[in-house]
Amino acid sequence: MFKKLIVIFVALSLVLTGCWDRQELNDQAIILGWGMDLLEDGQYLATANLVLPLASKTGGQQGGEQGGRSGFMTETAYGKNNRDAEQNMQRKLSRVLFPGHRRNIFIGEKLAEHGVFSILDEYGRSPMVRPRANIFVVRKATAQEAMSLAYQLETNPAIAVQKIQEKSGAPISRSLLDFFISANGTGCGIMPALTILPPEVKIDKKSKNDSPPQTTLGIYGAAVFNGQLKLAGYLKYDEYWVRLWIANKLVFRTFTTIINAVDADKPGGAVEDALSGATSGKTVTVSVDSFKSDITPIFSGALPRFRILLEGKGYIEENNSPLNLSKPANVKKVEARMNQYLEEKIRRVVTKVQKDFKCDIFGFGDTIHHRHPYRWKKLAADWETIFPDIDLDITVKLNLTGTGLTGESLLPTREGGEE
Amino acid sequence: MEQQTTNKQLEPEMLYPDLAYNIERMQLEFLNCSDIMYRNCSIGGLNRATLIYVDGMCDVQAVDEFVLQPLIEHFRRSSMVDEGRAAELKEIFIPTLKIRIVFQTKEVIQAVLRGETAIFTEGNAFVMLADLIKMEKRAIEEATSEKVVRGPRDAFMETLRTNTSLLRRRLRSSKLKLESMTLGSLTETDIVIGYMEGIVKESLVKEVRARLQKIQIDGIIHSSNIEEFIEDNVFSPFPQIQNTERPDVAVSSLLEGKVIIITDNTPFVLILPMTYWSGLQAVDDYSDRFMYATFVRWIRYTFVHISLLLPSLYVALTTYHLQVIPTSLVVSIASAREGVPLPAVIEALIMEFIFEGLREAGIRLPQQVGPAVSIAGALVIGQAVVAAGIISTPMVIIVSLTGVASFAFPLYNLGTAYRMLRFPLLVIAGVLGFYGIVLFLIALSVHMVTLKPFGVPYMAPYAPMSTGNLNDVLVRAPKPRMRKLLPWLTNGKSERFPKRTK
Repeated sequence: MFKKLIVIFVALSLVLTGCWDRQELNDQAIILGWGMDLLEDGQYLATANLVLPLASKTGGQQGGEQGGRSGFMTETAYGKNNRDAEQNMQRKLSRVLFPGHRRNIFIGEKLAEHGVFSILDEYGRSPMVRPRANIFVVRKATAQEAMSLAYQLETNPAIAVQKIQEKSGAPISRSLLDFFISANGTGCGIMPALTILPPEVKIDKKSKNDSPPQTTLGIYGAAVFNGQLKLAGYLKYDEYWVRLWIANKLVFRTFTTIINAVDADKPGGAVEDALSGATSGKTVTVSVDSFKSDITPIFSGALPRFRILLEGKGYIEENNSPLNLSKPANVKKVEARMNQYLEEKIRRVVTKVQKDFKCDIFGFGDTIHHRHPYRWKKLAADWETIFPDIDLDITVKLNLTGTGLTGESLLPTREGGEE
Repeated sequence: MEQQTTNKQLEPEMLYPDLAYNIERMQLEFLNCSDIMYRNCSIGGLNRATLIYVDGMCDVQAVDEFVLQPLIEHFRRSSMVDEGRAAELKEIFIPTLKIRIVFQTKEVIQAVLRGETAIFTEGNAFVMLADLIKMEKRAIEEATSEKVVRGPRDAFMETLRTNTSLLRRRLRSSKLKLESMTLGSLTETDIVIGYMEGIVKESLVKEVRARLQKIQIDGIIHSSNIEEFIEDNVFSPFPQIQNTERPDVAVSSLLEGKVIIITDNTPFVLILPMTYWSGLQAVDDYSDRFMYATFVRWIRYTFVHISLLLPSLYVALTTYHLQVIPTSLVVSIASAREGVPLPAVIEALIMEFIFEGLREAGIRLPQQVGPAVSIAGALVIGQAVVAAGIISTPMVIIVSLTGVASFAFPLYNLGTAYRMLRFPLLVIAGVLGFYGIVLFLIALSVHMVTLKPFGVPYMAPYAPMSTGNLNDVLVRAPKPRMRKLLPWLTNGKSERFPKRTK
């Protein structure tokens, strides 16, 4: 009898180890996005994008007419930090806030300038937050403004920005993790930056069914954080990829450059000729979908140098220049021109980062750390002052494997082309 | 008469030369048995004989021709008081194959009840039993519980001898032994233990024989009655004895070194010991091409797990581990569950319960009302319950998928095991989430690995691992590769055929 009791108690202790946190789906408010803003008085303003399950239920009875109700709601609360704001928010919500699906975290520009150190701790600590979440800085606006916009393609702006980021060639859903990694590595951080974009041309809505372009969310580029995790500046959309390529995270991207119209197809024309005196309007676009980056630190003297080899494979997607691409030599010309163009571009961006932001967002320090750990120990403390002055030897090697579907253009006559 | 009475008391079992007395005793024994027939015939004027048989169980025409006529004609003028003529009687004058002589009343009664014709003769203290049994039986039909696309269509039926003949037809070897015995004090059911000498482990046959002999029961009605008597672990949800309707399955089991038990009046033959994997191997696996068979086998394995786990996984995911589900799926599940008043566990339990009830009702239904119930059931489950907002749509999908999956088992009672286990698992998942599911699965695997029906590990050849035999478990290898036999089953002979040499 006694033995049986012991068995039962052991079995119960195994079973009753505290997993009783059953929470019905109907009792949870699923957070899809979370935004933090800093107010003048030092308080934080938290914004949550919550799923409205009732709205997305397009039942047979209700029909499509009432589909105008958006699938999300935005709730806000003040607080001293994340959890405090969450608790304050709870008082307005009939369901328990559930951050397990919080894929996107928005940070207002004010807060970013003030420094994100104070709010990021919870994201690493709470078991509910996924490390593979996206974190964004909202440029020239508050997180709340960005999150209140109804994004038309998706039910929810929080989902939209995450998808936009994926579609712009960045790795999928990991900017929070990346931020943590780089903040712990070279001390600097980088996260995608969003901006609120009014329509390029404003058109009035004349009838009920018109759908003029509206103010929407877009990727601005990247926000660079310095060693104190304060906002140092932005990289534009057209500069952001440089960092991704060097950090070996770029997935795809198309590059467009101008190619000289005049000597392009002359029989004896050298590569250099094709590139000199280029005029606008004659463009070539190359679509690259396989990127590689190789950073080699070289030590000679006190400061390290870096040899950066950037490789890519792609094909020509659009050609408005008079180059006849059915000739391999001309493809070589495009290749050379592209390499030159990209090198210039990359060098400009890298210099901007070195001189303006003084933040090693490319992870050069990390490569030293990996390959020369003992030297890194000496360098690590002063890396912030060393980084702006190090020499970078950038080589771009683009390999064009194709010219699209056709060699020559399908259009018969071409202005300025070969007769 | 007085002497006879004392004799009767002394040896109640024995027959007497006195015909009238014997018949009287028989009549007493078969009092109120209207189907017992007596046919008196006079032989040689004085001597008489009486035939006793059960109406409907003997071949009347054959009895007429082979028993009655010779008796009457050959002994028209002779007396049969002479004891020495007994042999003559049997050997010469009754020209039928199956005739024997017994001296005890009890044997006569048993034989008559079995359908044999008892020939009582005046002046002989024995009875001749002519086995001219002809009982009504159905024709051999297609198996109903194990259908195949390609393969033999014949199935076992109720008659024991037909069943053994079906086996013998496929296994023309004297190595096929069919030992017979009788079980059930009232039913006296014939049972045959079949095994392949030279392949089977003798100890297994001995064990089976011993366990069968131990059965003390008044009646064996189905083979399933035997099953629970000889099983090692009755308190396990898993069947440890396989049953089949198909002679080809029985034969291939015999060739693997298993023992079969054929029971009279049951079209289901028992195969033992059963392993878990043999419950998941369908007949078609061996007639289809091996790649497809492997593919289908994997589908089956998947569905096994679906039928056990799907509802509990759904409950655990939606109530405990919401993070695991992709966001868009969560949103759509959440919107579908909106307004559903019940917690997910209760919802699942109700739906599973209804489903099982419908299934049960479907089996018991008279054929004429079958469609009515299935339509009502489908409407109730599929449409009305959702429209009324009592049950959410995803749950209907989950339950119907589980229901379909539970029919993918080749062996019906293995499927029922999983169907039943689903309910405790559902409750545990509702209380403890993944943690509970994992606990349950650990307990279940421990139990399955511990099972050892007739000394053969239930999970063999997977646990304990016997690598040579795996080619009929996870895959169905081409037949030339399926050479090995389970070492637990066989006696020395561990290969089906010698290795080919090129």
